Amino acid sequence: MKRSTRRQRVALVVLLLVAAVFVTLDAKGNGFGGVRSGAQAVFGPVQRGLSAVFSPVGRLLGAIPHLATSRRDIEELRRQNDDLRRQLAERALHADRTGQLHDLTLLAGLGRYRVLPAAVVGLGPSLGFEWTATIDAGSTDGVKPDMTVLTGAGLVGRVKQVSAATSLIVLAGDPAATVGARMAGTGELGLVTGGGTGSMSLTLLNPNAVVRPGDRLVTGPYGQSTYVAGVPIGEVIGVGTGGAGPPTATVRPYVQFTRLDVVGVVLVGPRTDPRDSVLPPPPPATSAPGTSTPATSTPGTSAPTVASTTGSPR
Amino acid sequence: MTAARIFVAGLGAVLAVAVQGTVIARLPLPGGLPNLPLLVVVGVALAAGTTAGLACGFGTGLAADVLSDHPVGLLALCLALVGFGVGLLEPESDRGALRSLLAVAVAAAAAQLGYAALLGLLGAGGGTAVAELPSTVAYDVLLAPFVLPVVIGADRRLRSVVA
Repeated sequence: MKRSTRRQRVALVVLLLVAAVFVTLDAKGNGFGGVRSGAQAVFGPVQRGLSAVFSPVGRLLGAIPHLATSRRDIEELRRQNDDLRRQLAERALHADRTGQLHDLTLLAGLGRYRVLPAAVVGLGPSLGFEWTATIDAGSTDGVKPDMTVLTGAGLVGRVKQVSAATSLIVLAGDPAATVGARMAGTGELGLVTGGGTGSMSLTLLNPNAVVRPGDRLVTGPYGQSTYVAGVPIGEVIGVGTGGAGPPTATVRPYVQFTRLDVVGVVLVGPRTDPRDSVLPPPPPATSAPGTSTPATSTPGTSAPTVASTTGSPR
Repeated sequence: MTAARIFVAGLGAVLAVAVQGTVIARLPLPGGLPNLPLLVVVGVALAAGTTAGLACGFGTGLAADVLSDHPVGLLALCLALVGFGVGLLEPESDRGALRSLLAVAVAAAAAQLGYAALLGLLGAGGGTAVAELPSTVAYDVLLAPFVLPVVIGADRRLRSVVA
């Protein structure tokens, strides 16, 4: 330890006094506001520059204590992200299914069918070359053979085989399947035969009946048909030019048989034939249904009736 | 004490204050932070003696004061005392590394205690400063081996160049 000189001791005392005066001044009033802002002006650029250079370093150093937890957090967040992504996808699927179920309920309500909702779990020719679908409802749910299966859009097919938990459906689009049909409005009866993925074909019983594109078909009584009545089948898109014999037509089904998801099995049919009330309202451009006699082929009177009775099911 | 040495000492002090505010203040250390301006003052005092330590301490403290929220002059007072006291530890010939670290520890504790005491006198509360005393001293001692050689080496080189 060395001795300080007298001059140094004086300097120390003077500087300490100056500092004390500063402290007193600044503590009593705000005498250094100008000095502070001046210093900020001088140091500001320096500090900004240093911040720009060192803030990544600072962040890196700051991250070190949290490194282990950060990794865990990342894992956790990644897992949550996957989860949410999956939920989002499922929600879209659910929304789609909810919509289908809604349509199904509406249709069932219009036709007064008692419907059991079910999901298609398999689609394909599991029995020979028949067009079939498997649904996740079986005899324990009350499904019996020959019950009608439909969606919110229209006819799907009928139950062919039932096991405890699943049932096999023969689709109406099966080329060997025939469905008794009745034309909306005119009530002409006919037979609709499946056409695989393509259109179905319609053969009417009445050789004098008139068919036009846009005419709509529902299931109707025919032969030993076990389909419940009034289920929409499809719409006529082309009329055959068969010459002699009963008139024929090609029919586009309302249901796309390759895109089935939510279907309904009609457990109990309506007490009375719902006739045309289940049909969707006809599109305005082709709202001229055929009539039973060629003489009265003016735009039909039955189309508005259909529209009013069906309301707006979709 | 030549003009070049004073200039470099002042530059080092300013840099230390700026780094303290931008880099060290952001370190997520538990219980206080190392005090880089203090280390620079201690280094200058060890290298250049009482007068230099006193001047450097006062100037550095004042610069740190005007950039902070507490009343101006607090750190100037504390660091001036620290610089003066450490400057008394010359001559450098019989100074070992351990003694330097001891000087740092005592200086850090004294500065922190003086700061806390002055804050308490002003009624601004120095409780946090007292509570953080041990950790702050420990951080200063840990940082000193990186700062002191730089400051002392720079001073020695400047002296040899000028002389």
